[in-house]
Amino acid sequence: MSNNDVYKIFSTSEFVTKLVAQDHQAIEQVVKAYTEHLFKGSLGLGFNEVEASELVQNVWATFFDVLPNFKAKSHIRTFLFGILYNKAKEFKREFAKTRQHEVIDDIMENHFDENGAWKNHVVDPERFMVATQTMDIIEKCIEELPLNQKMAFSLREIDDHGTNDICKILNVTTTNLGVLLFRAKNRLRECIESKIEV
Amino acid sequence: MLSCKEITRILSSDEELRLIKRTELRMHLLMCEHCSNYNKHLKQMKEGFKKFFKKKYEVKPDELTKLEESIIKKHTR
Repeated sequence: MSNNDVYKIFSTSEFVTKLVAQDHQAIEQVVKAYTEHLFKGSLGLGFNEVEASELVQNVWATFFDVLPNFKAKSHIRTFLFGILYNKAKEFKREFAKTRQHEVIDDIMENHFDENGAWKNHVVDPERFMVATQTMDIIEKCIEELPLNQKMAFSLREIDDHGTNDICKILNVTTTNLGVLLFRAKNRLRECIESKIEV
Repeated sequence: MLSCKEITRILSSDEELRLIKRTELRMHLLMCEHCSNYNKHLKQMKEGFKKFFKKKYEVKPDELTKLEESIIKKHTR
């Protein structure tokens, strides 16, 4: 059976029934399929290893608690990441409401003249690349993002999740996700650009 | 006609476009050095962050197994 087939089985109601009945094999399968993913995701959100391990255990506990009410409408992976996101918010006491207005919006606005054309030269990709290959710069810049932008960015760019999945996980509309990605990517780009050595 | 400002917004927010707009966007990137540079930055960022996450967040196999086992134990009868 290919990986893909296994993942498809996870979303069938038969499989969910097995999980609810605490079928050992089913539980082992699903835990082994997603724990690493959740753990890495937690580290990516800025938690240390001890916190990440606690967070992941919390996610599974909630998952098994609410499983009887799980309607196989969304994929188990999407469901798990949604729980992870909510737990991470609680952990960080962050209220990830998308704000109406952010500094990055002004910074972007200022890059363009009244016709919407770039006012200044955009850094040569060769120079920009040196910075994106510098791990310290990457780390510093991602640290500065708020949780919801960090999560939107990494789900999209690192894990290649689809738009619908990410919207479900973050509980936002497509428009809202667009704003999160716009801000995340432009903040990162500005941050990286500011660290290019002259 | 899409302006540079609109192009950057479309690119960074991953907006899905209809064919006509997509063609316009591609033409714009061919002609406009600024936007083409900007687009390359986004691509380089994606690569850089992917590499970073892979390198930084390696999980030791035995630690992962330990974590998985404890979760399985907790949730099975």
